[in-house]
Amino acid sequence: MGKWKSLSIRVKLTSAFLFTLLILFFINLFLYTSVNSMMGRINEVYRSNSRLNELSAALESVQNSMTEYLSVKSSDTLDTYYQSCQELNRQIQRLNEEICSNEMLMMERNIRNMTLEYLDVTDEAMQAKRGRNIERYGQRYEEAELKFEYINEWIYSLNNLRFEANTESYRTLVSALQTFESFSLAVLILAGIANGFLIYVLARNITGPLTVLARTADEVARGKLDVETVEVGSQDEVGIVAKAFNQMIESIRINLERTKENMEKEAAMKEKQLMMESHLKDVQLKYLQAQINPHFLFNTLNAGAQLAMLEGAEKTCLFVENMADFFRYNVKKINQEATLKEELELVDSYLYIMNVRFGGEIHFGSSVEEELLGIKVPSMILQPIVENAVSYGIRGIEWEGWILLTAKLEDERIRISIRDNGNGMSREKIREIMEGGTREADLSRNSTGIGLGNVISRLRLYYNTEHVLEIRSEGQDKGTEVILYLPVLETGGKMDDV
Amino acid sequence: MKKEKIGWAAAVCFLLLLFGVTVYMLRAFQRMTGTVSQEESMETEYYDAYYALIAENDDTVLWNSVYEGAKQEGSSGCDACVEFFGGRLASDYTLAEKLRMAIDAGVDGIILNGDGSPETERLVSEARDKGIPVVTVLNDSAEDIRQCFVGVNSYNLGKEYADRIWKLLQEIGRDCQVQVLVSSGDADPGKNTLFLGLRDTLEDRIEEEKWEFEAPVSAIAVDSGDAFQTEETIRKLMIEGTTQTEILVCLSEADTRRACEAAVDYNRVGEVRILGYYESRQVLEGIEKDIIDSTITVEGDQVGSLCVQALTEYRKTGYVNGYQPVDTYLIDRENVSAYLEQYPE
Repeated sequence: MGKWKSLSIRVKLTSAFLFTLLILFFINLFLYTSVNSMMGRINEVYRSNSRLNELSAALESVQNSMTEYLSVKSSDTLDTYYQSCQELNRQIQRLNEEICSNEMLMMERNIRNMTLEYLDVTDEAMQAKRGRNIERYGQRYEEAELKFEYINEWIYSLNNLRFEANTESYRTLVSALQTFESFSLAVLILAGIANGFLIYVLARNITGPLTVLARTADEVARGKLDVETVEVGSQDEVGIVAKAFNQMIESIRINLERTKENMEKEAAMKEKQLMMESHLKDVQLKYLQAQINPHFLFNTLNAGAQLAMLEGAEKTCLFVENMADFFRYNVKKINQEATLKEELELVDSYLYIMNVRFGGEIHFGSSVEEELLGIKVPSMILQPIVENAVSYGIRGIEWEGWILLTAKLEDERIRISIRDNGNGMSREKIREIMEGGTREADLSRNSTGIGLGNVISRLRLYYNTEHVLEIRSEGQDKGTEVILYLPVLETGGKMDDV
Repeated sequence: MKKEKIGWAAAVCFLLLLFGVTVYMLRAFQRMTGTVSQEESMETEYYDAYYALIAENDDTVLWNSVYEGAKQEGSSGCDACVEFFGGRLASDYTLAEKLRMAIDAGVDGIILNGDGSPETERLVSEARDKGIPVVTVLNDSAEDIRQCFVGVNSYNLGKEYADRIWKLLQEIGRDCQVQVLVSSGDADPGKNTLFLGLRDTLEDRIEEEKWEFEAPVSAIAVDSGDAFQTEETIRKLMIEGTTQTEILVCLSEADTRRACEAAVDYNRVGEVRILGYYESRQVLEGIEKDIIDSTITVEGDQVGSLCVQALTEYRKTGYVNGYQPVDTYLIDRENVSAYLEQYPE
């Protein structure tokens, strides 16, 4: 059975057809030889009658030739006589000479002996004729005549008996032939049914797994991927196809899951990007709202600076230049990355403006490691923090206010600290800011429009980490320190040569 | 998987069935055709000697019985095949013709129901010349030449009939005609001797006993070879002999049957007392119904057996006793039932 399963469909089909063909062939061969043998036997049935007729003819030939010779005495008839005797002798050799209980065989024996006796008498008659012993050959002729009649009667009777027996045999054989025909028909029908059944079994054996495979494939085609694996016992082509089909379904399943994961990831990334764009747009919008036309304002400020120069008002000129620089930066870098150095310059410009506005009460100091100046960071991240320190920290205090900015490399991160000695912050306020609650509400007239929340959000998105900003304050009137932790990114040229 | 197994099992069963039917067919075919070839070979037994049984009217119960006895004896103890010689010939032949054929056929012995004719005697002589022993049975012939006679002493048989007739005469108690059907057309010395023995014994008894009534004994000649004529003769006796014929002695089984039928047909049962010869179912039924008075029979089997024994002894030793007597039995109403049992219906 195992060997059969491992055969290919071609071999299986060929074997099945050859097997059924062989069965039918052998049955037909058997029927053919049987019918042939039967026909042979039927042909043999009346052979014994035919032999007896031949014997009778030979006997008659002897009798006639003897009579002819006795009446004519020609050498031709003598030859005929001897030939006839030879033939008769040949014929009687076929007859039984044993003593047995079969009466027909005993009749044969009697005919044989009577014929031999008859031949003796005819010989004597012939010799008497040649010796011209008229009386003797006359007597012998009469004797021979009598014996001839007796033998003929015996042959005739035996022929009748044989005919009866042979007819009985013939009937038996014909009846056997009829029975044989019925049997042959039965055998052929049975063989046909058996062959049909065998072919059906084999075909089912071969096509059964194919049907299962087709059904499963149909289910898969209709989108049902969680089908059971196709179990095929055979190792033929169907077995191979089934195995491949099972593997294919498994592969499709794995691929689908991977694609699903990738799509989910992609969607998350898109969402992140969209959020980032949204924040930038938000920043941009705020500036557009605040400055209807930064270019116009920037050009105007430049004109004002030139005018101040002409009038010899140097301080005014410096102030207006700083203003112009500040706005230029806003116009140019709003959507781009900037270097830490540029960010620091912006802070300088901003604080100059603020000092002019508020009478130079803000002291600003910065300590930045030289190699960090070329680091690329998102634009507009330091100025809003400094602005916060000015607006909520230093402004309105009774002592001298200062702001200190330090930047250094610490634990693979750039640590930028903006510290003031202003009002300080309560813990609730710090938590509120960190959770982004005051982002929109704190916009004031003196603000550049970008809140601390916006900075935190952009930094988080940009560096893809939550811990980007920390606010420390020891309490009321004890100043605030805002620390940025900017990871040093290896790609994207964040660590450009200065 | 289970279905598959069932399928295979069914296929195998089908193949086995097919094989079985084919083998059965082959065997049935061989059996049927085998009977054809077996006919000649299966029951054929081979013997050392071949004896021919030749009788004139061999198709009677008596002769069949003799033949069966001879055949049985031949096949059982004497290694001899016994046949009714020419029994299957299409034409009827005379005793002499059959004897002629048997001699030509070179049989090893002849059992002959003699007819006493010179032709038979000549042929028996020729047989002896050719070294074929001849045993005569029931009717003797060629006494000097044949090797042995197996049969009843006819004269004594005649005496037995006479004793029975004397008994019947006493029952009848008046004049009575006794008629004996004797074969004519052949010189059967046995029947003549029997008739003589019957007549002499009866006459002596009447004379001795000083019987006051007449009881003449006459022989009616019938041709045993012509069944129609015999039948007519018997019927004529039944009709014409209404006044006289009272005791009819038949000396063959066939005549006994004919007489029985005629007595019934002409309503002469009880008037004509029939004494039969040999036995058959009809004869025994006739005795049982009191149509036939009695019959004297010999045991055919014993006769046949004795013939074969005599021939075998002669072939072995070159000598055999010249006469082998056969026992006779009288069957009448008293013992008929015992004999009737031997004849199934």
